[in-house]
Amino acid sequence: MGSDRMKTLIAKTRVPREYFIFLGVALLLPVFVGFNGHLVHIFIMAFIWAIVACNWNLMMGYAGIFSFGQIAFFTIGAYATGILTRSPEAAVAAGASTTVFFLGMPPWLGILAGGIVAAAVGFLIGLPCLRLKGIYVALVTFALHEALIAFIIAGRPIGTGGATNLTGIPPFSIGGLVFPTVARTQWYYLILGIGFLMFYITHRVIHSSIGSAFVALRDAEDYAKSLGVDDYKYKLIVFTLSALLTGIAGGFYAHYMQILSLRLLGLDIFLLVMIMVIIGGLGRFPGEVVAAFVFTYLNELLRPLDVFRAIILGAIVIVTIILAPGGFAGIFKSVASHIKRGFAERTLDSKQ
Amino acid sequence: MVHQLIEVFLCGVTIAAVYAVAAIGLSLLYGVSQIFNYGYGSLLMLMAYFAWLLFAKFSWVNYGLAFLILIPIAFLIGLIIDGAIARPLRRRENWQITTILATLGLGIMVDGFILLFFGPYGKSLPELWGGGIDIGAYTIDGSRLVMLLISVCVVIVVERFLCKSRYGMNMRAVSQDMVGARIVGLRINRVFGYTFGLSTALAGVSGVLLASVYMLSPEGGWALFIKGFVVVALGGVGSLRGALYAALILGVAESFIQWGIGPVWVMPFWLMILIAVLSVRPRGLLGIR
Amino acid sequence: MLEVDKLNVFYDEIQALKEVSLKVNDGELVVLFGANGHGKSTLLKTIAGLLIPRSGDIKFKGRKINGLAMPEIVEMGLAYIAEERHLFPEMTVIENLKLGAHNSNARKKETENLSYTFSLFPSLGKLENRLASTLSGGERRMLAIGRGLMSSAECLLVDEPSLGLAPNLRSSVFARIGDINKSGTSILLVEQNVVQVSNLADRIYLMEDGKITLEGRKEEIMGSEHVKEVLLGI
Repeated sequence: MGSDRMKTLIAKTRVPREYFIFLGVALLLPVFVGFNGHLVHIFIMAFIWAIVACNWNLMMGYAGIFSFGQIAFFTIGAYATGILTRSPEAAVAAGASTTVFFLGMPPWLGILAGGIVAAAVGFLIGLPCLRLKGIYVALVTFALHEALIAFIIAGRPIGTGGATNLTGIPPFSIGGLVFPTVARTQWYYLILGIGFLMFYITHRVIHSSIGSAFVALRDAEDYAKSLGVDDYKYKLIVFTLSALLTGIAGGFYAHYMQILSLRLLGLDIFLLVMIMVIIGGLGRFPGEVVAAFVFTYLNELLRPLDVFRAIILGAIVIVTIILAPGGFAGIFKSVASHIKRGFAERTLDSKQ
Repeated sequence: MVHQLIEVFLCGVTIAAVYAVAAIGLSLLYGVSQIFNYGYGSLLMLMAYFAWLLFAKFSWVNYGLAFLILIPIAFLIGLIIDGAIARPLRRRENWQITTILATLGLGIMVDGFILLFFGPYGKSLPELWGGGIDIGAYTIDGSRLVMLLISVCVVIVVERFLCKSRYGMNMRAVSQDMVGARIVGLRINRVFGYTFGLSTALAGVSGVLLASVYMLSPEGGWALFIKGFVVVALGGVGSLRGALYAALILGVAESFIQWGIGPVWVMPFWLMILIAVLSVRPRGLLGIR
Repeated sequence: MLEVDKLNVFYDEIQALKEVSLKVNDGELVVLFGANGHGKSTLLKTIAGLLIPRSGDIKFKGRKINGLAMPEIVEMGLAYIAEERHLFPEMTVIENLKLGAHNSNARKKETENLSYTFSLFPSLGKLENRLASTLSGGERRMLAIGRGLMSSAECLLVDEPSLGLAPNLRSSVFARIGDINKSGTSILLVEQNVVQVSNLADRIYLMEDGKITLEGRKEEIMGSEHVKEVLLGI
């Protein structure tokens, strides 16, 4: 009886059963790996990157917009909240010459504001990109990424910390509950919640009319347009929404690490997240979420290798693209279908 | 004041010449094989670092020898990349995008390689030419002048090659009508191969030239990559002359911005030009596509 | 010279050619006609190597060429003159022609072939240094044929050379094609204006819906009732 109600609830959210299994596993994870272990930190980062990868996949894999601006949006969201949540007194320490942006906002508002700023940039960049061919969108957004570095360095007077780090970001707090960086367990569940919320939103978008519009545009653009599907409108929506959510993820990152640096815009991070999207399988959610976890972990493993990391990551990208265009999601799908088949056969047998 | 302006202008012209060489490398590759080589900047830097290595290890090396050694190496590297990476991807769907991703991966690999072997600190190459030349009240730094001259020579050589030599004609044919090229029996894969080689060689030349005047750094290639593409976009793909004009305009503009507003505004400037060109006149000034 | 045997060609899941068989003997001028969209161009493209058949064989000079890369097919002496021409727009007439002589046989005879081409198309000679994109439709047509000639081909696949041309130009083009054939080059000509070329043709094929429905010498074909219906329909 109880399980029937559960089943109807699950059915109502229109999310496949598998996702709830993952949710369950994720919820119980810290129990197994230790509540404050380094592994938890890795998982927190994995969730953050998973959100970014998820939105990037929405842009590239579903909407077919070949954008290289995802990390830029992430960084904008992070830096925006990093500045807005600091109080005017921190201005001097930050080397800023004006306290205009040091509003001392509460972190949750800062994160939201950061997301909105990122969304605004997404909208502005998206506008000229609407009419461009995929490869040119990549170029423009990549130029945005590079130009952002310059903006941040130039933005020292307004508190970006310039070429050095942006420090002193207050920890995330909501309703009196504070989340300092060391409170890993709290952060884990917080990010887990945010993460699954984001995944849910992504899932709904994909399976909504917007999502179908994208698939139609991606697979048969002219035909879809002739049916009245307004690709400009949808593309702009995706640009903005994707930037918003990624900016919010950036905001959470800022309050988790409490410190930001230009390394965020380094190409090794860029490639890392890009790998998650590609290998996760473009356009096959939630492959990139799985890939996010795998690669965040791999990245940590490889950290002592330092410089070799870039070489190895680059090699992985090249080899994967040449040999296996389907990426993780392809493997994921076949494993999942094997499991499903196994269950079905078992039920058949038991019925007999 | 006027004196300063003219110096800034001349400075811009000299660097514009090198931008032109870099842009032509990109333009040729994109024009013929429709490939955006995201590893271009990194390869450019790599060749510059190789030049540094030559100068550091062998005292008898001068720039002439360095070019003689490095250009064939760069060409070969380009050939290999085309054969090993671009060619297998060409057979598949979405090859334009997958090639971008693969070359991006390659670029980062090369960056890592540079960091590994050469360390993170900037390096510099010996002067191209000591002293300077005085024209009236203005002094042009000797190195920059030679940089300008070499670049101009390279551009002329490339232009002659494209117009007169058979390989150049083949490249032009493939870039203008690929089916037509197949109809006359051109081996397209071979043309793609030596185009990539030529493109990388040009990257090498511009890299060494830039390094002779500015400092080398492991991540410096990316800015050049973007600048190169903006020049191509403004000048128009497939137009050598367009790349020249665009490089001149943008090189001089950059010089003024750097002097007038600050070096930090250089990249945003390039970004805005890129957006402007692609939005208003995607064909560029003299583009055929 | 050229033998097509039970060729089946698909565009994705749509079958464009169904068990097509055709022959061009040494020195013949064979005409293939039929309404638009029935597969004539597809056949030529497949023989030329631009498309790959799902099944069937194509033999040129006794050797199987289906599946060969285009450069090899051109080397063997089979040249394709496309309906869409595919000229090099930013190159001059003479550059276009020189590229036509790309294959190794033709390269040795470049000058010879050039003068031959110019003798057939004197007006091209006057346009030597004009860019292909500045030429008129008729001139482009001539250039496309000329470029095909430059390849020293023993057999030419010509696709609708008269398309879009004014009537007087048309007869001139056909006459030239006839001359080319008389000098020994086998020709497979796809042409809707079968009436105008029937005099030149040794044999004629009719293609309908991706299938060869009629084949024979010009007298048989031009006299057939069915053909008259088809012609009226064209």
